[in-house]
Amino acid sequence: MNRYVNIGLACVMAAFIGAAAAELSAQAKPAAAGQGQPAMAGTTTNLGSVRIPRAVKADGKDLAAGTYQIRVTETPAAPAAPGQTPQYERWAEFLSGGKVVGREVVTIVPGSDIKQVAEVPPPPAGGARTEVLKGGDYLRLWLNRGGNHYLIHFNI
Amino acid sequence: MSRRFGILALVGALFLVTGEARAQAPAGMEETVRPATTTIYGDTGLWFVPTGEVLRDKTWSASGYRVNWDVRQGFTDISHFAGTFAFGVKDRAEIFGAVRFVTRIDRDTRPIFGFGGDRFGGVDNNYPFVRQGWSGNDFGDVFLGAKINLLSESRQSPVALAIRGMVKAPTGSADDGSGTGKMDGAFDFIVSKEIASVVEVSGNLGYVHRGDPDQFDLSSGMRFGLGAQFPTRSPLKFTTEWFGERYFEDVVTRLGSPAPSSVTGIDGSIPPVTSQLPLQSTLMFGATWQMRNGFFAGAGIDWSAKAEDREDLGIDSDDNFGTKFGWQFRIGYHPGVAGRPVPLPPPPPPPPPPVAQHTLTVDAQCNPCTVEVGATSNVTATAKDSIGCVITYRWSAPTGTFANPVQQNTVWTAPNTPGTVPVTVTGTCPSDSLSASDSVNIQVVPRAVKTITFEDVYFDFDRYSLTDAAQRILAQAVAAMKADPTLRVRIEGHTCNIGTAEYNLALGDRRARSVQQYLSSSGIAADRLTTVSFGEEQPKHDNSREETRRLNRRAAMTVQLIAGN
Repeated sequence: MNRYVNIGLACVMAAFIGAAAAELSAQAKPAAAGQGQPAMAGTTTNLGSVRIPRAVKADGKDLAAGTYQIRVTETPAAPAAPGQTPQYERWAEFLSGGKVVGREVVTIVPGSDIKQVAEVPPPPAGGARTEVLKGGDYLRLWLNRGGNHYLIHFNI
Repeated sequence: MSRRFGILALVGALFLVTGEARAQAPAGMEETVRPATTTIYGDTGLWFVPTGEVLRDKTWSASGYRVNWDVRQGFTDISHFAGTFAFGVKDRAEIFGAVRFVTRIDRDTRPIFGFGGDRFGGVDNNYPFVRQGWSGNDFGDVFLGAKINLLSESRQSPVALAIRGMVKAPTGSADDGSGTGKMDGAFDFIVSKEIASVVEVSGNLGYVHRGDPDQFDLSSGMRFGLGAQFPTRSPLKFTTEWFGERYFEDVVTRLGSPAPSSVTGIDGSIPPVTSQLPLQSTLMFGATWQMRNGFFAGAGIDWSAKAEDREDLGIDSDDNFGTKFGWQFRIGYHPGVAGRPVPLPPPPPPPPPPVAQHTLTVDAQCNPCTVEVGATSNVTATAKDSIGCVITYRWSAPTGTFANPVQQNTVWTAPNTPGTVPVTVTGTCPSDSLSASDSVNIQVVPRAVKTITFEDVYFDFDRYSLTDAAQRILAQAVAAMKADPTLRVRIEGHTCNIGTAEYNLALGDRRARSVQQYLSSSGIAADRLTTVSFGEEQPKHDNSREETRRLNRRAAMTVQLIAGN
């Protein structure tokens, strides 16, 4: 029992530390996510509250700057792309006031593979980071939740 | 009355005969014209003797004569200066006339009548009113006549035959002795022939009717003539004739008694009641020069056989020559008569048929006219030849090969180099080596590259590892390439546009090589595989949304097939 408590505390602490680290660019509230569990199809993952510092386009639609609850749905992006892992490309919803105000496909990278992807240190576990890419073309929202990295690329 | 009837009959016969169609040379024969002259009466003839030929249609002749002859009675010398004219009618007749402008009579006996009795001292049958020694120059009689040609050598008759009628208009004065004052008529049959185009012989026989003046009973007679002229076709021709008249009565009878003063000699001598009338027979020889244009001039001499020399009678005279001989002169124009037709010269050989213009055209055609390198085209030649020549063909081209370059239709194999190739065919007619060529351009194009694209292989974000699903797709490519060893695959690596271009170019390359390694490890020779990275440069999908952007993370396998390989 103590073991689970300790783990829970550790997660809380980690989330707290991560949130604090990402406070400069985004605010996130870690959500309950399975440690090391890649987002699986058929499951919905709440990534918590995240602040998007500037207006972007999500799935081609305007999404104002603000703080949104992000929820990764069980719906994979369509159409299927043979060779890609379906559960790594899933729709994420942006909620504000309990209502979905935007959506975009989120790219999920298991923590074990992040070194193959990231050239820069990823945000700490439970943390999130936003960064502008390609000279202002993209705004990347990078969340590290539950051992998975969630990457959302907004067109600016 | 009978005289008028005779004249009408003559004129009627003239119109009857000349009413026929103008004679034409038989088919294949050519009309000719041969020289001719006139008689003293104007019709066509030798000199005194007429011929059976007549002037050609609408041609005319004219002449002037000085004639002279002698008669026995009174040793009389009779001369005339006459002009003649004739006109041809339809090649069958001629109308002629003679005008004795001057008649002069010289009677030598003295006294005028009586010397020599009825043999020499009588009157002449033609000029009974001569009653002085010299008549002077008096206007004489006028003769008009027509000669109708019945047969003509120009119409290929063996001889020429004609009838001639004439009348003497009594224009000569009886008072002057230059005429009888009565009309005479004459009718002749004439036969002539030109022998060997050298000699023309002619004869006439006819009747002369003399009108009787009140003072004399003149005798009519049968006149005759026979003559020849030669050479007929030469400018200088000679004429010899014998002509005269056989009177029906032996004497000329003076009517009325006593003799009227109109017949009494100026010396008072009285002509005998009868005057002997011997045969009038004259031989004549003359020469004529006739130019090609028909003008002629001639001179001759005649000898009156029945005239007698005064020497024969013991009369001394310086003019014995003139009692038998007389001089003849003539000048005139005669355009000639129709000669015996001669065969037409053989017609010139027909011009050789126009040489058919030999034309030859050749048309080259190709099918197809656009071929890939190394492919074939059927080339055909179509020749059009105007003389039906059997054409030989030869094909040529700077490149490519012919299956049989001497066949009309053959197959041309294109070279391996693309371009336009003129293919030429030359058709030749062996008989005259006439040739014609035509070219057709055949476009040689590169072989068509057939592209087969396998299903794209997708990669996870920023990854180049192959998932099982990717490998299943690649397995299909492996199977296809193993089935066709000629297949060559170009593997293209693509990325989305997140990240720098350089990074993405490298990522695309890694993705392509990842596929290449898989294929190689599956037994596909490396030399059949090529890789290329396009990075983010050739996005296949919209990069503004992740839903489609993710689809740009892919590797594409493009198979290049060369048709025919």
